[in-house]
Amino acid sequence: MKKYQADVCVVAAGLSGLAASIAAAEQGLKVVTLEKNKVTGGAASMGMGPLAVGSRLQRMKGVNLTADEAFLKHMHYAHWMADARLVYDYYRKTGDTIDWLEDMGIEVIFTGGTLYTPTRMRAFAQPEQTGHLIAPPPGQKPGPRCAATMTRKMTERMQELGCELLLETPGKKVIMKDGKAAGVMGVDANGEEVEVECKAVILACGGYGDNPKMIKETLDYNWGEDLFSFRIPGNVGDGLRMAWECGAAKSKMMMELMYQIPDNLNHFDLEGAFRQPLLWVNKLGERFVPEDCIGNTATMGNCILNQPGRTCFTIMDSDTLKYYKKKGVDFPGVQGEEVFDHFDEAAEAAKEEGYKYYFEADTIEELCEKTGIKLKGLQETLEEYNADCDLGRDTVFNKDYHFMRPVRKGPFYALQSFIGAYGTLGGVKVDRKFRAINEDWEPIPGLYSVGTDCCNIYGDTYPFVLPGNTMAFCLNSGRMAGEYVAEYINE
Amino acid sequence: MNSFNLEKERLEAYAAKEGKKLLVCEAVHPLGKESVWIDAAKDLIDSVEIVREKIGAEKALVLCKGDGKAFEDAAAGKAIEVKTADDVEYGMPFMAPTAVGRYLNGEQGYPCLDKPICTPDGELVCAFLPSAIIRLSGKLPETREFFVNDTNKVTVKQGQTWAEVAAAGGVAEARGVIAGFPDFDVFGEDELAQSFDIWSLEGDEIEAFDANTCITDVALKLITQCNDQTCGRCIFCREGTLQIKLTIQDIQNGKANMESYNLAVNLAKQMVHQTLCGVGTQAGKLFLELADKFGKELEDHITSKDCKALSCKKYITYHVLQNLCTGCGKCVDACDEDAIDGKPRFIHVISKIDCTKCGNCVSACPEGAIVKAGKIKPPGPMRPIPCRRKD
Amino acid sequence: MQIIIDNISVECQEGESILEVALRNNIYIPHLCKHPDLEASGGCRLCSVEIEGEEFPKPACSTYVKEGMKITVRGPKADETRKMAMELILAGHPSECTGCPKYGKCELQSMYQFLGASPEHWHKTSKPVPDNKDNPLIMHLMIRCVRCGRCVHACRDMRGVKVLDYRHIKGEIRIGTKDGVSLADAGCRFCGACIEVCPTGSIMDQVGLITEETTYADAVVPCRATCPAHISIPEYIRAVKEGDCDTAVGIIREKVPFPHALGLVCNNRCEEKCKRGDLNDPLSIRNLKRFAAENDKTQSWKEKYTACAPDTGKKVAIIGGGACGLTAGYYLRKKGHDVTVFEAKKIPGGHMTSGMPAYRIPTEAVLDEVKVIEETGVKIVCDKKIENAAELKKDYDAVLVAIGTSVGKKLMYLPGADLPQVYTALDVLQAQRLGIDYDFGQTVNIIGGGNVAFDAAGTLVRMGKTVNVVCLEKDASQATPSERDAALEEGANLFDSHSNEAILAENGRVCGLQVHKINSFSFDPDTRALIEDAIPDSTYVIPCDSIVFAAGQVTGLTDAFGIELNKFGYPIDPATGKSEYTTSVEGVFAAGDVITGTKFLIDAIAGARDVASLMDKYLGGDGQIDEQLVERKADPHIGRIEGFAGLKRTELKERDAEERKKDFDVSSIGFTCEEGHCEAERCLQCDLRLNVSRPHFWSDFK
Repeated sequence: MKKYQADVCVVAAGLSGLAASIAAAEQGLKVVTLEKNKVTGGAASMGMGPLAVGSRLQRMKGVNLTADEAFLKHMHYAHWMADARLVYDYYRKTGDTIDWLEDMGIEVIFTGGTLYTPTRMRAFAQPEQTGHLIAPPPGQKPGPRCAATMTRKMTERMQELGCELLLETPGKKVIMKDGKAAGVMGVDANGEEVEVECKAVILACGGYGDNPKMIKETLDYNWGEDLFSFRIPGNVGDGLRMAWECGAAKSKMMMELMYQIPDNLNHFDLEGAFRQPLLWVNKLGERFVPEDCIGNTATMGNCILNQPGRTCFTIMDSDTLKYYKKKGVDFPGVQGEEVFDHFDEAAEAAKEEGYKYYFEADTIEELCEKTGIKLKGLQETLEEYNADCDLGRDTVFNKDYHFMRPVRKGPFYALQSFIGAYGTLGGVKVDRKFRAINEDWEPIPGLYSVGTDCCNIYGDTYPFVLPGNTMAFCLNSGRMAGEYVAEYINE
Repeated sequence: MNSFNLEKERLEAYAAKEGKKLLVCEAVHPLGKESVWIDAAKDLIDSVEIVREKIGAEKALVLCKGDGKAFEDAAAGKAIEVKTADDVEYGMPFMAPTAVGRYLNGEQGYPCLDKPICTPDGELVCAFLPSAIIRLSGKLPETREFFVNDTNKVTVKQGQTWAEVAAAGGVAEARGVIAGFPDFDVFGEDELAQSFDIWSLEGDEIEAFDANTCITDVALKLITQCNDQTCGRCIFCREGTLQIKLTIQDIQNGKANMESYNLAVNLAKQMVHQTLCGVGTQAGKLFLELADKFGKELEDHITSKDCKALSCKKYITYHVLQNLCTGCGKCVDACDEDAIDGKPRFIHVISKIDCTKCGNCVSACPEGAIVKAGKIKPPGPMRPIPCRRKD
Repeated sequence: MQIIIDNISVECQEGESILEVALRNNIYIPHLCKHPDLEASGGCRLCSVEIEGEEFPKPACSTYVKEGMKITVRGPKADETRKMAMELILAGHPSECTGCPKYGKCELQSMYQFLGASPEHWHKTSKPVPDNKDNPLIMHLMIRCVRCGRCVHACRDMRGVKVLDYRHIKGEIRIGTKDGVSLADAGCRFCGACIEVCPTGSIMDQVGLITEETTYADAVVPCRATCPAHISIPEYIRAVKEGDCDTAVGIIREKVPFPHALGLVCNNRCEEKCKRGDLNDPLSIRNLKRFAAENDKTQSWKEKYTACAPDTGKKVAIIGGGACGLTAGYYLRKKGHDVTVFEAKKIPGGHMTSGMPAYRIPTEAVLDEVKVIEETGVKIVCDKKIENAAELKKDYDAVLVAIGTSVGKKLMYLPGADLPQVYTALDVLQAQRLGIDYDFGQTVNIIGGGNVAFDAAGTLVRMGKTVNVVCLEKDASQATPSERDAALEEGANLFDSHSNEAILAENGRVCGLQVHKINSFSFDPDTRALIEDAIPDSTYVIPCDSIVFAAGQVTGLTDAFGIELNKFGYPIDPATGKSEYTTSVEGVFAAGDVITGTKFLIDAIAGARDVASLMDKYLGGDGQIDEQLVERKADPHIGRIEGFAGLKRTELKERDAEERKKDFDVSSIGFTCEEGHCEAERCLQCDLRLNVSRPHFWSDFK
């Protein structure tokens, strides 16, 4: 049994854990951080950059969005279903956090709106320019994984400040002594117990995205059947369980919805090719969304959520495919612009592997047979849709006429999409100082929860109008909690 | 002269070592074709004898593909064994000395760290390519066999110039010659008149090309050879040759820009020093020499979208010459993209969007009225109009 | 030899690579394709360093040190090569990490976090490769493979099985078997070395093998983890394979003092978890234990085994000389305490010598092993029944109650259960083993269908009786099938799905058992009363001369014993209200069947180890009872065995039923040398994988 003494014990070294450890250490506290994996950074290592309002970079680019405006836009978007004081403090903190990162030697660039979707998209008609990115290596375009340098610099900064980082040591239980959080029990790589005695505990375990049973119980999604969310190994809800065991109350839980094809890792180009403003229909063969709004993955996730079987199909005919192969994509998503160069290879590989969600058929009847779409419904939709294409105007959804391409000439290609999600949000009820609170709103002394474990400031949908929000919440909630803990301990 | 394998140094190193040794003459053709050395078997075997004495090896071994009969006859009575190595999966990496060592130990013939390797019965493996053995033996025959453009075998006499070799190989007015793997020496138009020492080349392949072959096609062919034959162990070779191949394809279909071209050049600079055997090193060297000797032509493709040889489809268009077209319509039947519209006795017009530049219409036209055009387009109507010719 | 790395001068020898020297001196050089245990391949070039006098960066992993070398790790040229190499690796790798099961433990992720490289301006050359999950135990998820070749080196050079290599598949270089055959056909030995060295999770354990509940070591070697005493099974099987059975017994004795007894009667739960079960059938671990014990000639472990710590002056009394008492006695003696064991019966061994039939576990085998314990100085006093533990505590520093459950239970609610010719199964077994004779008459009805019932049946058949086994369960499902069938083969008759009504007597002597047939039955969860779905008017009488109850055993303790008991007669610790190692009297401990109810031999021994450690701490010791008796080597080079995956499990041969039912010699024949050797050869040696050293992450270096 290994024993450690510390002022604060931070459970998990994802982005919020790292931020909390650094902030606490900067206040002169002795910090011990337990991380389950071998690599720090959690989900953020795959991300690109946080939101910020009122940062120096924004001002240099002439963007004078203030924290108050962002706060009001956020609360309207979330129908005021969030702790206003917490949201206000959070937005005011984000600008200063960018400078905080830069002091650690992290290069941040300000790119304005989200990188990928063209502004003609309705859902982004008025996005706020809050997106900041961790600078990619010199001379390169930003892309996934850029934020990994941030998590590395933060890990080094943490160790510089004297925090003790125990890798491959998951935290298992919070020790309570006469009603106060007084320690954490963990287990190291070869099964030996690790006990950290401390005055305060910060739980930052990143939600329960990798726990299908808990997802089913709390949100009634069936992973692998109608939900194909990211499953970051190890995010099984330890933070929630440990907080609830100490009496913390449950808060509203949700998932940052978006949409995805199953096993998208192996069929990345295929997903990119079909994520275009083509003809999207549900199982009944009906259109259910103006297809040029698919760029906003959060709202599109909500649309698919309310379709039969929580699924939908994208249909393309051979003319459209030929057009795309020649002209390239309408929407260059995360998959990049070259998706149609490898389309045939990707389609061949999918068929050979027996991939259940990609279909090719010579006639509409055969397509309905293979996909399970209702034939009558699809035929009616096609009749109307092709007529609109000839007319040059979408009489159903007034979709942008550039994207009105008829679906006539066989063979037809279709791809099935389901709802997906980045991870779960919420679960631990916290007050504005990120202290875990029990049923009758009293804070549990010394117990804090940060990051996605306690994030329920988004109402029911992720605010795409303020991009980079979840990563910013993790970063800032960790930092603020680190500072509040210092206050609590120095009392 | 290929500085890749410093033969003399290695010869002395082998000679200096005590204990049992085995001289291996590695005559497996890199691309699996039957060896060019079959005709010169006698000279080769004599040289093998000489080099065997030089390094003091009791036995020698000749590895080749297909039937080694010619070698066996020449080696009759000598302490030289001939073995057909048909299970050698890929030739290029096999030309590295360490690969031969691994192969004789029952492993796959791929290069590894340059450490002395012995055969299962303890003989130190001393491996050389046939041309190296001839050079080291000092007995240089007057002529040598080469494959030109993969197909025709040419006997070259000492002192001939590149232009003569190219012509013998079927390329009359060559504008460039490239010595094949593993040399990859590139000779531009002005150097074709020089004569060369036939024994300075490692490999037995020569590529020659004239005005209507685009440099990108030649480069693509050689780089693809390397990429197909990479053994996969070195990142700079496995991924490097693939990235350069894709960059050349980008240059051909108009997707490259100067930034991606310079990136490929930097990559080639790294490849030259960061791989374990000739495949990666020489592929890098080839691209650098191409960029050096034919850089202008490559840059024209990128910046001004111009392919002088009119072979890169992206930059050429097909046109019906209005003064020759008789409106017979034969070209319409030949085009399976139905990209040509026109009526009898009307000048036909080829549509820019649908034409896939397959070129079938050119041969189908009895009047020779359809031509390829690069930057400068021949005048022609936008829509079919009645023919003016009166005959 | 001295060289300078990043102007730190470090000591090194000829033949070492720069990378090894740097890592040893806590200087981190990024590297990916070099694994600490494997030969460098120099392919990935992430370890490029600049060496004074060399124009181009050199790979640190395969460049050997020379006197006076001056090396810069993060020089501009080296960084450029390294950055480009990293970008090229990422260009061929899927660009989306979050769906990958290795997220967070992946060396490539740690590397791009450290280098900050990103492949955006290169062509994305990652092509879809279908996951291959058809092989047992091992999954190939080759879309993530960066072809570093570590698994190839591990399989070819470290293990010498030579299954994996670089392959040209569909115009691409992939890692796989020759012509894509299954791992089993390619001769794979499923040792898992490739999983251990793979940096990116392209080769992983099948889903579910590694879970968060158990530690990594327990998940990789499930047999050792399942065994209650955690015997190091792969190690002793390897010793048997190499033919030195004395090392094998030494390894077993490091955890249990009765290798031969366990080899005969252990219920081998470890075999259910043996990973070989996923290939064809598990190792026969118990029979190999027996084979080792029966062929241990030199007993090389004995000298260390009997050496004890200096006397601590503390005296310990142990009530009950069964497996649990003797094991605890042995360990306490080893820690230097003076141990006396009091055994009520004539000979020690408890269940082993009086609770199981001789044809399953001969008495001499047990007594030989008891003799070894006595050689350590443990005093065993037989024929001495202790009435009161609290009394005994007065003149001993600590007392252990280990009397097991040696009293047979009689179902007194059955009318006639108090007749003289009504015995318990334990009486039958003790009658034969200790030479006590009871008036069984010729035909005996046994009530109960567990293993103990069939042990009694086998014993009675060998005593020439006709035996009827009457039990509730269909096909006596309570017993292990092999033991039930053996007894039935030897002539016992089975009356399954029968319920007893009464024991009939004729002039004061048992003459029959009144029973009726049932379809099914169940027990009321809280009152444990029997609920039957009886077949109407199916009552009839099975004539017999005596009745034997085989309906479970109890401790037979009463309050007179001086410690607090629960209503079933099991000692409890008032603090928790449950049966624990500690009892109501301070200094009096309890372990084995007496607190857990009738369980198996291995459970009693495991309990004894725990209580011995607890008592040693109580007596002021450190409670450390683990010991290393024999040297053993784990040769990582296991070589190829043709058709290894298909090697069949060698079953134990039973003597012919007619012949074995006449005598009490052991009914099964142990492995011959040849059988023992080739059964031991089937072991996957899962523990070898744990000896592979863990690769370095940048976060390991400050």
